[in-house]
Amino acid sequence: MVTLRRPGGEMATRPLHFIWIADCSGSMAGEKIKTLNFGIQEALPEMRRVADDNPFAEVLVRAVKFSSGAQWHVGQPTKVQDFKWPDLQANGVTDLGRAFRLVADQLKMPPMTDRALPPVLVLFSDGQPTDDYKSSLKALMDEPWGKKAVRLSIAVGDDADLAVLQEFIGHSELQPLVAKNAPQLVDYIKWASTAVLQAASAPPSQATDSPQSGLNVPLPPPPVATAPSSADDVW
Amino acid sequence: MQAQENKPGWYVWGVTVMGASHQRAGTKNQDAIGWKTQEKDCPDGYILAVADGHGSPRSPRSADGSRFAVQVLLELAHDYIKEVKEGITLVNPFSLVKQQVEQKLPQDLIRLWQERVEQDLSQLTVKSQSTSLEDGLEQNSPQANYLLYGSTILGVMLTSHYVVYIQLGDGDILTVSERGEVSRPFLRDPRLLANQTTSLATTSLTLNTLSGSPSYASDVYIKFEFFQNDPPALILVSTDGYSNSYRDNKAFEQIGPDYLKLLKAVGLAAIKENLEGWLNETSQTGSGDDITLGLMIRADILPASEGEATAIMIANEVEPEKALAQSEPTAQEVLIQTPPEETVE
Repeated sequence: MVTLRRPGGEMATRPLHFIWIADCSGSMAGEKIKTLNFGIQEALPEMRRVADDNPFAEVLVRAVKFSSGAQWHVGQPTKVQDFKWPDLQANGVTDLGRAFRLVADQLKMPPMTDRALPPVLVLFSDGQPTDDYKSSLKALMDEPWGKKAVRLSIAVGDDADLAVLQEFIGHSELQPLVAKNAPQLVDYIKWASTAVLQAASAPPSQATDSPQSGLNVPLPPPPVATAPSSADDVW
Repeated sequence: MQAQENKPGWYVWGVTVMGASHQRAGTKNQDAIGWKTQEKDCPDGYILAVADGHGSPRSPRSADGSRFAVQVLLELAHDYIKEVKEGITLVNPFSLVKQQVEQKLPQDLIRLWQERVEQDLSQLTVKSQSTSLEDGLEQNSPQANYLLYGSTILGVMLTSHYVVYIQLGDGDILTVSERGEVSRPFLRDPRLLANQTTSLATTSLTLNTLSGSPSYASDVYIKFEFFQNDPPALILVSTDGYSNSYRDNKAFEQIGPDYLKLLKAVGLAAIKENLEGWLNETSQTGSGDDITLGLMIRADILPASEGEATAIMIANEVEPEKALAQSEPTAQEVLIQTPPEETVE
């Protein structure tokens, strides 16, 4: 048998951009932000395990923080194996719209390419937006990759505006997850960063204009919320 | 391209491999490929068809759907090649025939595929009356039933005077000139991002024709081209698992001049020995998806000795086809490469 060089240029796995979008307004101070930091740190080993189990997706993690204004908390798309979570501090208002703008800019093509896997966007918030989030959300959804992204939202405590979080999700099949205490928040972070990541890493083809079309990526059900052990155990 | 004595005008061949991720998950190859040649089973031309079943929970029968898509396109294209040849008259010139094909072929393709699905479903429904295997099947709407078999389809019909490209869904058709220049008959559909694809299951039969441009029957792209100068040296048709394995479009389209150089240098027999290994390596290193590649190769670009070498290869392939023909009489005209049924433990 004659062995010949494989035709074609450089090969690569498909990039999967995973972006945490975290509210670090003043009301998140204390146990909420501490739990958020802890939850993401705790989830990282499992995220790496999921990425190792799905070698055909290159998981690249980033994070946006928003309070008074919005900034990239980790701006460089980082391979999950190398990703480190710097703790967030809480202070300021809730400029959610500015956070959406930052994400929308990164979902344009370029820098995105047409061979990527659907990005996963996970939004945490405990309150009401204090800026014009609607036009920014529209800008995000006007980007083809914004529309194709798997968008999840996690309400931290009971004061979050669930209608806004539902608008971000944009699908009736999925509702915001409401974390009423620390264990629930940690569970939801783990679900988003493992089960959802797993589903987005190898999504089957979806027919456009299907009568049953809903979520771009079929998702496993979220964990059942653990009931608080006492009234003090609720944010 | 007129066939020389004892030498075909074109060689048509292809391979499908199960995706590395599907091997890990124990799922089926959802792709299918088939072809017809002037020398064997299509007197006036050459046809290549490639399809990719969706493989989603909503399309559990898409491996059958892709197989039906290939079968239907091969039969339909065979009939159209004959009709075009017989249909060209003084009052019905080529240009009019072209328009008729571009309008009618996509509609026939969708209709016949849907009929094929309905036929299979009716057989399943009979079986399911005594088992619970297909519970709920009869309750689905027609469109939901088609989605059970959802698939893309790509194809090429080639004669000595013209070529017709047809595509519904993701995947790639590349044409390569003798100088190694790559072009595409269709621009990439911007809707087909991430894992989204148009589908035989969801495309309506509404017709939208743009004269002088590729015509559309809803989501079907079709392009009928006359050979004004030289026909392409090579045509490559592949499912999206192939292009998704390369870093970018440029890296993927490099396969065009690379396959051309290899074919000119070492001939088809050597490509046949290596292709399955290349596609397996590509899936393992790249997308993890099923990969199917079909090639239509103009015979005159191959080394002079290819005719003899390839005749021997084709002769070797006759035996498996004969075995297939014995078990399935209609398969005599068609060689469809889908892998054997996998047994999942």
